[in-house]
Amino acid sequence: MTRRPNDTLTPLEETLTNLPQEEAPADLEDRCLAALDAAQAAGPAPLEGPDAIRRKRPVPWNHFAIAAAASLLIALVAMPLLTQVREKAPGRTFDLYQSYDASGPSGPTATTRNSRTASAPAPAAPAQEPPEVTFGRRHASYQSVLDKDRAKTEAEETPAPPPGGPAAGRVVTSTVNEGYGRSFGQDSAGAQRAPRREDGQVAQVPERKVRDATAPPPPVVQAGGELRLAQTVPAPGMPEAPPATDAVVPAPAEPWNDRSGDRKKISTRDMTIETPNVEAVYQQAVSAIEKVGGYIAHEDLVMQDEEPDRATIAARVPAASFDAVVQQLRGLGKLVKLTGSSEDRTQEYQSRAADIRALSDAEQQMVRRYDNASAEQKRVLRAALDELRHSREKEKQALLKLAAETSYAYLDIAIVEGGHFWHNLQDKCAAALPFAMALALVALPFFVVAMVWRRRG
Amino acid sequence: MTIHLLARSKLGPDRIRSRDRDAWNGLVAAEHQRLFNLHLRLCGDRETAADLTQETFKAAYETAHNFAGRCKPETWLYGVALNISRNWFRRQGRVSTPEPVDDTLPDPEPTPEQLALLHEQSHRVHEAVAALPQTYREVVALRYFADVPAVEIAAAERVPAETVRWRLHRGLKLLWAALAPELGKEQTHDTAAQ
Repeated sequence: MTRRPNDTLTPLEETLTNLPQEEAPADLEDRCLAALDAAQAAGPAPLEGPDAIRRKRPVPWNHFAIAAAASLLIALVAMPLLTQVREKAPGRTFDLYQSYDASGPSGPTATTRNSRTASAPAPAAPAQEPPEVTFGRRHASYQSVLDKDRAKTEAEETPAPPPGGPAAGRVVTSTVNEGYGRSFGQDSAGAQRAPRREDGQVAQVPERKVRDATAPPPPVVQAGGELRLAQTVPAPGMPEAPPATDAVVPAPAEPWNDRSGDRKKISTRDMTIETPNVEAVYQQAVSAIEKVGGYIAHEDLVMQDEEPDRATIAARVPAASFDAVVQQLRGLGKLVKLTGSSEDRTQEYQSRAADIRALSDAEQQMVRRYDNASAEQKRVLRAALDELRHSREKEKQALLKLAAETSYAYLDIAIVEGGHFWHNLQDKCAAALPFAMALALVALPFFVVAMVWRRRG
Repeated sequence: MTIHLLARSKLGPDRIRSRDRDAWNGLVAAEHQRLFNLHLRLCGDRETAADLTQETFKAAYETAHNFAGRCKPETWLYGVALNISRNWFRRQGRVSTPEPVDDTLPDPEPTPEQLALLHEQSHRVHEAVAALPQTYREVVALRYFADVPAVEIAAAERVPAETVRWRLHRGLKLLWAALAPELGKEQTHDTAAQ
C-alpha cells in the first residue's frame, strides 16, 4: 500500500503511522466494484459536470440580489424621469371655478370656445407680435371705436373740477371691484399708465382726457361703485362706427343698437407659469398684454435672496385678443396651472338692448302725442316721459356696464421661479427615495435568507 | 502500485461527478485498502469494516453529483466514509465515549521500548483508538491509519485546520493516557521474565 511522505512527526505519531496495516479481504475490491454496478443500474442517469450541482442546488440568492438592485435602480432613475414626462404630456385639463359675476347670476356656466381651445394640445407659440385683426368685425369695430372715442372725447369740453379742489381729483385705482372680487391696490411704482381721475359730474367721462394713448381706459367707478356715463357720449370700449375698411363690418354706435349677434361673454383665466427667469417672463407678459390693447390693473414682482422669485399680474385684455394672449403667455414658460371660466351673457345683453329700444320707441310716440295734447294730457305725458326715461337710463347703465365687462376679459398670471432640470431631478429623486428604501427593506430579508441558505447548502 | 498511480493521475472532479466508470474503478483500486483500515480502526471488526467499505463506495457513487470539486476526490471519499461510520454507530446504538473533563493530561513521551511494544502489539493501539471519543477517534484514524493530511481532513469535515490539529493533539494525549499503563505493565512483566 502506498504511503505518503511523512511530515515532521513525533515518535509516537511515526509509530502509529508505521503500524502494520491490516490486509483487506481479497474480494473486497470486487465487492466494491459490484456495489458500483448495482448503484449504476439503480441510480439516475449521470449528470454532466458542474451543471449537476447547479441543478441540484440552485442558488436563488443571485436572483434576489439582482432583483433588489434592479428595483432600486429603477426606482431612483425611472420614476423622476417618468414624472417629468407625464407633466409634459398634452391634453391636460384645467378646472373651472365660479365665474366672476358683476351683476348677473352667480355660479359657473358652461364654457364654449375657451374650454375647447384649452383642452386641445397647444404647441408652444414663439414670442411674436399680437395678431392683427383676425376676429372679424368685432375686434376691428372695438379697436376702431376706441380710437374714435378717444379722438372724440379729447375734443369735448373739460368737465368742471370736483367741488373744493383742483382738477387733479383723486386717482382711482380700482375698476369694477364688485365684479372682479378683489382689490387691486395701488398701481405699481413706475407704471407708465396715466392715472385715472374721478369724475364728479354725471355727464362726462373725465378719465378719457388723461387716457393712455396705447391703452383704452376702463369704465369709471365712483365711490358708490355705480357706473356713471353720459347719455350721449359712448362709454369706453363701446363699439362705434368703424372706419370703412375692407376687413371691417360697420357696428352700431351704441350697445342697445348692436344687432350684430356676436356672443357676449365674461371670460377669466388664472394661470401659473414656472420659469428660471421670472423677471424676463414678467416683462414679456406685460408687453404681450399691452400690445393687444390690454392694461395691467395690478402687478407685483418679488426678488429676494434665498427666496424663489415670483411675480403676479392682474390684467384686463380685450376679449377679441384674449385667446391669443393666453396662448402667447403659455409659451413663455412651463405652464403649471391654468384655470378659467366663461360666462355667456349674450341673452341678457340682447334682452336689455331690446328693452332700451322699446323704451326709446315709446318715448318717441309720447313726444309726438305731446304736441297735440291738451294741458292735462301734457301733464300726464310729462310724468310718463320722466318715468320712462328714468327706466331707460337705468337699463342703459346696466347694459353699458355689461358691455364693458364683456369687452375685456380678466387675466391673472402668477410667475414662479423653477424649471431647473437638476433641481427638478433632485426633487423627484428625493420623492422617490422613500419608495426605494421601502423596496430595499422588503428585498433585504430575501437576500439574507438566500445567503444563509447558500452557506448551509 | 503502477496501476494505482496511473489510476490516480486520471482522477478528476469532473470525471468523478459524471460517474465515469474508469475513474471510479481506479478510485476503488487505489483507496479500498485504506478505507478498509480506516473502518477497521473505527469499528474494530474486519467483516464490518469490509461491509462499511463497500457501503462507502456505493454511497459515494450515488451522491457523486454532490462533489463540488473543492477538495481531492480521496478526501471527499473519506468524508463519506466518516458519515457511513457514524450512521453505523447510530444503528448499533453505540454511545460514543464521553470526552474527559480533565485537561491536564501530560504529553506523550514514550520510550523506545514502549514504541517497539506498540509496533509489536498493534492490536492494543487499535483497541485504544476504538475506545476514544468519536471526535478524536475519527481524526486520529484518518491521520495515522488512512494517512490523510490534516489539511485534507479539515476540508473533508469542513472545519478549520487548526481545529483538526488540536483534536489530533488531544486525541494523542488521550490515546497515550490509555496505552501507557498497559505498556508499563508489559515492560515490568518482560523485565521480570528476564
